[in-house]
Amino acid sequence: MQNIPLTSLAKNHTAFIVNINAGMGATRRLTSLGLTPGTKITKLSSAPFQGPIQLQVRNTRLVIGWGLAAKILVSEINN
Amino acid sequence: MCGISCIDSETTILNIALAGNPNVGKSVVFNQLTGLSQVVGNWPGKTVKKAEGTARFRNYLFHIIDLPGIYSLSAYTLEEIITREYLVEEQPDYIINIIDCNHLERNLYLTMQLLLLKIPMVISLNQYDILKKRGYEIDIEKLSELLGVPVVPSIAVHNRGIHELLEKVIALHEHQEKITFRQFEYGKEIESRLTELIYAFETNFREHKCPARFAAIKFLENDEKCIESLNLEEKEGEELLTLAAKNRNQLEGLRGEQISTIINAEVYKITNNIARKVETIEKLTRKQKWSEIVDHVTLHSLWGYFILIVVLFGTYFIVFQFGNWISGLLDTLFEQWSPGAAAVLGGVDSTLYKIVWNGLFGSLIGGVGGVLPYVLPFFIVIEILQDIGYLPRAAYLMDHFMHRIGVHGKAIIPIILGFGCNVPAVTAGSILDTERERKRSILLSTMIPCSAVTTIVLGLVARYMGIGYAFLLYLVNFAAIVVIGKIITILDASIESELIIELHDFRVPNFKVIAKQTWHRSKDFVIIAMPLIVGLGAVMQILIELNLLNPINVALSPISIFLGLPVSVGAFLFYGVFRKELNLVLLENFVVFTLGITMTEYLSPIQMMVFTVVIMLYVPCLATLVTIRKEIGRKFMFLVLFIEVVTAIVVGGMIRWLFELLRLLGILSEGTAMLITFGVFFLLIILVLVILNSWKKKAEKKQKAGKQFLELKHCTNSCADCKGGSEPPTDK
Repeated sequence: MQNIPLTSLAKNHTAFIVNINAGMGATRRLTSLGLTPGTKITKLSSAPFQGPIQLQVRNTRLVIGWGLAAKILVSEINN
Repeated sequence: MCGISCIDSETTILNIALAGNPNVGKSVVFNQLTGLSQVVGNWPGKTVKKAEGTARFRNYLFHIIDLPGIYSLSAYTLEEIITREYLVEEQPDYIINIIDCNHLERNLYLTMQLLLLKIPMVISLNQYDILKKRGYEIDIEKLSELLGVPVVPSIAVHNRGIHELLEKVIALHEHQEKITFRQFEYGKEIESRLTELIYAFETNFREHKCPARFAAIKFLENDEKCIESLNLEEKEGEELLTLAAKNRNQLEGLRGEQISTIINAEVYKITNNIARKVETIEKLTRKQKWSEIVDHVTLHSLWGYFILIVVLFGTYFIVFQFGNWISGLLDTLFEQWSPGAAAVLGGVDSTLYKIVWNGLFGSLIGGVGGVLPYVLPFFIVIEILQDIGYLPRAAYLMDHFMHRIGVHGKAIIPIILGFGCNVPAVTAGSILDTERERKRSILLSTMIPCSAVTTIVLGLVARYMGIGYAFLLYLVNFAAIVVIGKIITILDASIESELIIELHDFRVPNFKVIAKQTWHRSKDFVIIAMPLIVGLGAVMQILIELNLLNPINVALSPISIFLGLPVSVGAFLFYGVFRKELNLVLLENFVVFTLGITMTEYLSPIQMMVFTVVIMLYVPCLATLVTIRKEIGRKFMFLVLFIEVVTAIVVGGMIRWLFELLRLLGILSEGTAMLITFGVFFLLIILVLVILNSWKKKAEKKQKAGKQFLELKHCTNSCADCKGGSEPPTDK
């Protein structure tokens, strides 16, 4: 499967995290919230006009700003 | 054990720290344990709330501290730094780790870090009822066995499983041999490197309070703030840093990932493993239907905004209806008592009566009656929204727009609070993660017209000119905020941080928590703002009585004349710094009684608009300034003051001179000229925004080019480490 940024993942689709290409602080934050490579996530929604992304990870729901979500590479799982 | 002393031979004192993720019911556990014995303040020199209390149980006296809710012990937020410093430096006797058992895997991440601190611990598995409702079950004994820590299921809101926590602490205390500190291993590649660092730390810093494994991980992670706070001797510290950097670079090269990713992936492997071993599905129930619908609608791309608008306007409507009613009642009382007071204080015209009754007592009534009835219900509604979990949804919806003014979605919360009172808006800035974000949010939220300003807008512009004009002034105010926000993003071009928040399911409000939080917010107003309001109200009354307003008028006359206002408003502009809500009342009294004319004779429509817009923008009141100084510092307070005064004069001046220009150009009707003035004003604002935007883009391009150049340089310098262009450069 091709790797795409989380922002390009379609709503309600599930994917594995491939890697996070953000700065040191933001990466530390995201990984400490459970967004580590290989983790399964589901994109639940995104706010309009490149607003933040709502996603499900490890049974919790997180909201991540668009700019940061664009730096998370994922690989979609086909059902 | 450390830190244990006895008051008498019977009682043992134990220090206990409550730690856990945000929103797990930690404060509810704290309330249940400590009841009325709480002391709530701030951490020294920090904007973070600190709550302490005591509990007596059997022969023990527990000193309990409620640490801020955090996700990790790294140094990302102020709360995390405070918590880590407290735990490492103060070494409480026991930690009670509160976990939301519905998010076990994520919550255990913090538990893993706490275990490294080698402080005996008891775990509270909170919100156990919700877990059951969802059809899940957790094997408590197995979890306790895996972690090597006593685990108690609890439902804090119903006070269940709370005292068992203290019992477990006592059991540990009386059987010290049962205390274990289980260490979880991170995989061979990391462990071999950690062993080297642990050895180095142990040999060099044998006496250090910080457990070696914890320190070694922090060194490997390059958690600079944490390393700094360990206060190591320079030479040995440097050696350790070099050793850590060597090991870190090896690991990062091996895995092709940042160090925090490598380590956190290992930690989550462990927590995932534990969660899978102890969690079982009894019977899966579907999420409650209503909660699912509400959830969907409040986050919807169209309905979400609709609901947000209804919620905000609904809040203001309810608050102002209620406030007006109470305020009216108090005014009536004041008037009824006035003749009596006049009789006692020597007649309506006596100076004593005016100063004591009108000044001191009038200010008190004005503060209690004119502001508190608006501020208090406002906070209650906001706290309800907070407690049921609505506010993070507002942050989600507004994030995009907030980025336009240089902050992210979370800043919507202090901004919403600002409509009630700017003082708690400033303190609410602490929900933002970094100092820079806090400063930005404080500057912007203190430009929000608070309820006192709203009473002026309604009492002057809406009353004499119509509600449409009042609305127009709000638009002017928001436009000014957007422009200032935009300018900040250009002047302070450091990388904008992004929104990262957790979203929780809606829940039934807990009125005890709401009452407590409302009090905590209103306290800022009552303690800081009220005394200033009452005291300065009396001083102003004295100045009026002694006819000392003229020097102020003269001093401010350049500004009043520039803005085309009567010179005599100077004193009232000055007075507005202290208390805005009585400003209008005093001005009306002055115009009607002293000058003997009506308000519309005193101020022309355009003057009214200019005067009000200046009042809206120029200075957050003195109480707000004092709070800013307390939260951030004197320098920043003056910066805010300067920016806002300049903004007010520029905006007021623009409106005035545009109007004058139009009149000179021959537009005779004042109404038409006014409308065109505001039309042109908004066009100019749009023009300024367009210019600022293109400016920002240029600056960003430049920054990007610079960064690429640096990366290129880095690549050519260390070609051996560089695998392809996409690899982020590793730190030296």
